[in-house]
Amino acid sequence: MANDLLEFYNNMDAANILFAFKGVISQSMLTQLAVVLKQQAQEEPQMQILFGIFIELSQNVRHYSAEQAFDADKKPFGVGVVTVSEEGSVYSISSGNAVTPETAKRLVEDCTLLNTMEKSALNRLYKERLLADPPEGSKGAGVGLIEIARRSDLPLQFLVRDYKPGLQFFILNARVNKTISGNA
Amino acid sequence: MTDSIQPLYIEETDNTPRIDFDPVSADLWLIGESFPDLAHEFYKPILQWFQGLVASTRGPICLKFKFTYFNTSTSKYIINFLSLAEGAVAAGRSVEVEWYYPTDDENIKKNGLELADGFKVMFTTIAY
Repeated sequence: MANDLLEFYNNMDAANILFAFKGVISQSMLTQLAVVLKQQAQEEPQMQILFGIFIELSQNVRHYSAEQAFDADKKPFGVGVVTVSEEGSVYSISSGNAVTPETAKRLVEDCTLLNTMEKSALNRLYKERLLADPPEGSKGAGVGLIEIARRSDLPLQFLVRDYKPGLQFFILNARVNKTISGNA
Repeated sequence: MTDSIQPLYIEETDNTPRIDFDPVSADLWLIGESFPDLAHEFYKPILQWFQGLVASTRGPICLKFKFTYFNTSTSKYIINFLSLAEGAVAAGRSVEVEWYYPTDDENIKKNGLELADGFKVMFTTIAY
């Protein structure tokens, strides 16, 4: 087991993973990490953007994962994985969680559409969706995905993998430049 | 009538802002971080309090947002506040919105102006 964990650690290290969490995405984990990222944001303004994307991704997993477990308050919440890694000149913020095939199909359509849109169009869509009622089944504003897309410096990356009977695994990856665009 | 409305005060947490709504001065402060786990559970009662104040008083009201960060589900509720404020203004009330942002955080300022765009309500950005 000790050796396995070292191998696991080395794999994460080789993938330049700065942070990884697997399990029930608890509100206390989010807030603790928020405090850490906020401190870093004072030195590095891009951390603020990274933080915002991280919150939206994590809250998506927490509220919409098709696999749930009980958190410390004995309430069922989504299980999944979230990571922050470095890839050359960008920070990569990723999430993975179980979804039904119907949700996977919708998410792929949404991400594909968002990737075709310019920043100005994304901003307009963001405002339109805020002014409209949240979609059925949404616990938030239903605009988290648009927010992630418009804050990203590169197109969204997404992948659907077969997972368990009746379930697929949806992976979403957002990237932000380490330095503010234009100043690099 | 104001004595029928109690002040609304909620202490700040790591992910919810301090709410300091004083029915006498009608200064309504929201201060701090906002990414509540369930935004509707946090913000609905606050919106209802605001509606109650509009319905049962006549004096000027000032909404004061002083966020350091807010997530998308909070944005939805900021829009709701602006929409209620616009309705009150249309009915002849004096309702203003002040939007505070740290001098070194243009993003918060921009995000506020983006949300307020299109609403017929006095909206002032203030650096601190």
